[in-house]
Amino acid sequence: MRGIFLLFLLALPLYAQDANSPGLQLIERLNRMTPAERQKMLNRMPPARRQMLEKRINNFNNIRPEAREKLKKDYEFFQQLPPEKRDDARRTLKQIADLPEERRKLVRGAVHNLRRQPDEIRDRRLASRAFNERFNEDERKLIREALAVLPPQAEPTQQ
Amino acid sequence: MNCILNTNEQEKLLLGYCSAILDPETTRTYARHLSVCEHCRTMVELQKMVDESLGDWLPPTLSENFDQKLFARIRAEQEAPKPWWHFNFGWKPAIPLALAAILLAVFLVRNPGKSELAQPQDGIKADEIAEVEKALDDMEALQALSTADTAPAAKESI
Amino acid sequence: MSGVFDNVTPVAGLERDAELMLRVRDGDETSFALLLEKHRNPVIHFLYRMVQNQAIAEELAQEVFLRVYRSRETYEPTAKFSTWLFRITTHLALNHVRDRRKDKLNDSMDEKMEDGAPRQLPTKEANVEQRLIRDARLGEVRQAIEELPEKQRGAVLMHKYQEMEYSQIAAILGCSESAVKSLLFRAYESLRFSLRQFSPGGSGLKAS
Repeated sequence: MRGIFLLFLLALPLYAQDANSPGLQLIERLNRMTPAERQKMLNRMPPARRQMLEKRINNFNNIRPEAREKLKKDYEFFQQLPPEKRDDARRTLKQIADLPEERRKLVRGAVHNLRRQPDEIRDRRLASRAFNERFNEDERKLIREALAVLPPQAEPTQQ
Repeated sequence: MNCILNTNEQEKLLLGYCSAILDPETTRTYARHLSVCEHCRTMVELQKMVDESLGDWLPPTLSENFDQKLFARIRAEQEAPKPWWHFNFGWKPAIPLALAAILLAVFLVRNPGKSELAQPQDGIKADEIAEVEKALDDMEALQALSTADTAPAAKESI
Repeated sequence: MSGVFDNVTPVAGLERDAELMLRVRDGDETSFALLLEKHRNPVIHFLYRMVQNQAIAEELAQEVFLRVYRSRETYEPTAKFSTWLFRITTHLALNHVRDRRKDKLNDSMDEKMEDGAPRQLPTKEANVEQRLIRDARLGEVRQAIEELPEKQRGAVLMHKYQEMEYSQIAAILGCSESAVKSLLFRAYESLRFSLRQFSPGGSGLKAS
C-alpha cells in the first residue's frame, strides 16, 4: 500500500509538467494548416500583431531542420525546469542579450563552447585564470547561470 | 498630474529606475522622459528618499544564544517520547490514503489538462496567442545562444 | 547525445542550498548548521521588520527553522530553497500580524519599547539637528511600514531588503507576478506619501 502511495507521489510531477508546451504544440498545429486555414485561425488578432506572429513563426520554420530539432530539445529541457528556474533563465538570457555587442558575442561563445565540454573539463575551465581574466564577475555569473539551465551537449553540431 | 505614462507604467519604470535594474535602453528613455516630466522627477526624488530611509533602518543585533536555543529545542523534540499514534500509523490509515491517491491519479490521467487544446470555433484565443508568443520568446532567446558559434568573437572564447 | 536532461551543472548559491537540505534529509546535521548560518539573519531581519519586535522576531525565526528541520524527511527541492524558506517565514509572520491585529486593544507602547533601539548606520553628522531629523525619519519609516496591509508589507520587505524578484515574491506569497507588482506599487505609493515631508523638495502628494 505504501508502495502504491509512493508511486503516486512520484508520478505527480509528470502530470504537473508539460513536456511539450502548449505554445510549441500550437505552432506545430499552425504549421500543419493550409494558408487559408491559418488565416481563419488568426483572423481575430490585430493585423500588426498577427503579422509579427507569422513572421516569427516563419523565422522559426526557416531554421535548418537539424538546428530546429536541437532548439526544440533545448526548449523541452527548459520547459521541464520549475517555473522559478525558468523565470531565472529568462532573466539571464535577457541580460546576456543586453550586453554590449562585443561582450555578448564572447559570453555567448563561452556558453556555447562550455556546453560541449564534459563536466570535468567545463568545471576546470570555469575555475581557470584565463576565464576569470577574460570575463568580469557579472559575465561569469551569467555564463554559469546560462549553463545551469541549458542541457549540456555531448558533441559539437555543425550549424 | 500631466504625465503621459499610465500609472502602472509609471510605477514600473520608477521602481526599476530607482533600483537601477532597467536595461540601458529603457533607462535612457526614462531619463529623457524625466527631463521633461516634472511629476516623474518628483516621484523619483521621493522614491529615492524612501529607498534611503528604508536602507537606514537596521535591525537590532541578534541574541548570542539564538543558535544554542534552537539546537536545544531540536534535541528536546528528538528526545521527547513519540505520541502513541506515531507507532500505530501503520497500514490502517494507509489503505484509505492509497485509495484516495489512486482515485486522484485516475482523475489526473482522465482530465484533459492543459496540454490538450480545444478546436477553436472562431479562431485562436487570446491566451493561446500568449502561449505561442511566450514559446517564441523563449526559443528565440535559447537560439541566440546556439548561434554564438557563427560569430567571429566566439572562436576566441573559452 | 548523452542523457543531457540529468546533467545540469549546479549553480553556486542556488542548488547548493537545496543540496545541503537534501543532506539534512539524509541525516547530516552539519548541513543544517550551514543553512542556518546562511539564512538566519535574513529571516530574522525580515521578521523583525514585519513585527517590529526583536524578541518576537527571534521566537518566530526559531519556529521557522524548527519547521525546516521537521520537514527534512519529506523535503523535495521543487523550488528554490530560499523561496521555500521564506514561504514558511512569511506564513508565520502574516499569521502573527493578523493575530495581533485581533488583539490590538491589548497592544501597548511597552512592547515597542522592549525592542531596544534599532541600530542605525554610523553617521558622519555631528549636527544634532540632523541627527534628530534622521531619528524622526526612522520613526516615521517604522510607522509607515507598520501601517501597510500585511501582504504589502511583506512584499516591500522582500523586495527592498532581500532584493527578491517579483517572480520569487509571487512564489512565496502564492500569487501571480502581476498581483505582486500591484502590492508593491501600492505599498511604495503609500510609503512615498507617508514620508513625503522628508523629501528635499517636499511634495503636495495626494494620498491614494
